[in-house]
Amino acid sequence: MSNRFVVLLIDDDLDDQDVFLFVMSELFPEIDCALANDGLHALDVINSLPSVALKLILVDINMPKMNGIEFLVTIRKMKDLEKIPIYMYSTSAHDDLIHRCIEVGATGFIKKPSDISTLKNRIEEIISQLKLPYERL
Amino acid sequence: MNDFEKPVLDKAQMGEVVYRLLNKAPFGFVVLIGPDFSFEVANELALGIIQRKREEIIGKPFFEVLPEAREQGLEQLFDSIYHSGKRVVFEEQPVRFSSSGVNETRYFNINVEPLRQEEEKIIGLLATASEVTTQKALSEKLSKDIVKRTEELNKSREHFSLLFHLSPVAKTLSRLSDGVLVDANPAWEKMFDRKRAEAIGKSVVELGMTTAAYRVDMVKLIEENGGSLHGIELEFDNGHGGTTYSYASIVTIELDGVKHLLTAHFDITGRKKAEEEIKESAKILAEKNITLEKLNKELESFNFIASHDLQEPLRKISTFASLIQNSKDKVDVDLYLKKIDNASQRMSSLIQSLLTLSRLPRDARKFGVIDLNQILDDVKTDLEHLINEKKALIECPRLPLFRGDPLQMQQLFSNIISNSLKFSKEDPIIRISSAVVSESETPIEKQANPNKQYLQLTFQDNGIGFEPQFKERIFNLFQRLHPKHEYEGTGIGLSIVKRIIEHHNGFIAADSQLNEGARFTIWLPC
Repeated sequence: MSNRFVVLLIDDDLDDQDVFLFVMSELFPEIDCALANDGLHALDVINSLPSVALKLILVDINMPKMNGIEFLVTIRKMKDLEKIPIYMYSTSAHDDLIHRCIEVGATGFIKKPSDISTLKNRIEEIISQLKLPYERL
Repeated sequence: MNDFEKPVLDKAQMGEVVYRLLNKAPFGFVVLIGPDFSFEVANELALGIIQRKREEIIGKPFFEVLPEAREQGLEQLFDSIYHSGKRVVFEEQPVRFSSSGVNETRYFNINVEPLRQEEEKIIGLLATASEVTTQKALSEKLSKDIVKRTEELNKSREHFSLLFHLSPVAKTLSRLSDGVLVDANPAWEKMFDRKRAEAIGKSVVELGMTTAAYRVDMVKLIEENGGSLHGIELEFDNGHGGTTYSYASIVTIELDGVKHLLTAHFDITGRKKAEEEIKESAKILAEKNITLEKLNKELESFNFIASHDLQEPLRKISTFASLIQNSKDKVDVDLYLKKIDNASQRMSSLIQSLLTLSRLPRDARKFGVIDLNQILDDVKTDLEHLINEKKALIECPRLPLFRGDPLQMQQLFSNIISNSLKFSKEDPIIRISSAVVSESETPIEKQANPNKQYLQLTFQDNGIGFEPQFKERIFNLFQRLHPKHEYEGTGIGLSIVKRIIEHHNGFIAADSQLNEGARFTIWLPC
């Protein structure tokens, strides 16, 4: 399964999870989506996946138990996951916060938009940037 | 025997030499022989003094030559010397001279003594006269000068005294050695609230104005500075428990050979007081600024978090609405409409909680005596529906009276109890207990007063509990431990509880293990 492409979304908000899944199914139905409810849960999910498969992580900032930034710090300390693209996916997106996230190792920042088309564009942008082979059906 | 012992001159020759020396001597020399005091010898100067020629006087009685001398009682004097053998000295005796129309008075020290023949018998008088006219003139001039100078000095002293006493600046004159006040002016009396009469003769230390050590330091400073100090700030005890501040100038002067200090004080107590007040105001201002900054920070984070958490439901409404509009056939419209409804309800509840939080007053107003039992009953009534639904049991002994804000205490009980009801498993049991403890028995870190009394309230439930690592986090604003779909809530409840406890100057601590219930312990000063 070497060309398995998994995107992990870490967000405690079920609605946002649903919306994300909906958008991914429209844009990249061949890409697998994994979900986690918070940072701690995410670490478990990551450990259960083969490391080569996980290509992208989107993580919300405001989550119980372990928030997005704490997760980011933890992940970046792990050998295999130093380089993996991680995008913060959050409602608030002011400069200080974005700066802090980049400082701590985020690859980028997605502000949760209010309309679907903006979200679609953004996700398409990011996944194309990854420039990794995937099969488009 | 050698050559030097042999006299060079014989008696007659010696007499001749002596006579010649005497004749030219710088003093008047007269020998008067017999009871009528006849001139036997008179040297040149003597002749000059009595203003006679030798041939006129030799062999003639004194008082025949100088009849005017009789008037001055000289005859009795000469007689008494001749008979008693006692010597008499006249000092600065005036003698009038007139030559070529010019009158002058000259002064002589005159010595009259008996002339003895062979140690025994008095045969006459020996008189010598030294002129002291110049000395006298000099001493008179000096006396005049002294008088003049003394007058000037007195005038100067008067002038000084006038300046000293009239000056609007407080002045003192004191001895350098021991600080004893020699003089003080009315301005000083006014500035230091002491009477001159009581102060003179005492040192500033005795008067209680300063300490001996302070004075010693001051004197040292003056001496190191060449005897004067200008513009130095001094402190004095004003006798009423306060301090008088002076801006002083001190100079060293000598009076009668004794070193004194002349000090001028300019009263800067007012200015110092103003400085103190400004400092105090600045301090209060700084404190207020810190409080304001803290408040601002809180407000900022409050605003930030509030707007963030309000955005979430708003975003959902917008997203689902657009999904329904654009992908009607691909989505479950009814489900999304329900989500929109839930989102708007969440917004409403959030706004309500935020308003409650913002309305909590920060200052201690409206504290009154509260019956906590009544409070609990009211809360149970409010939550009646939920209590019945969960089949919950709330156990509580009699609670004491307490002084606090009744509305806030009700909010506190309500939030904690509703949390316990929400995060419950089955058949929730909530046990409330109370005790009165002293500060040392509490886990409060900074113990200001170990004997202070606190009301200790404990709320223990048997619900789902939480991991111990989150026991402080849970009081953070908007902090939740569970995703929204598991347990609804704004994450504000415990923030409000903490705020209320702080308002009452109390403390709260949470304890729990996962699935083993939670305990909230509150300490409120009573």
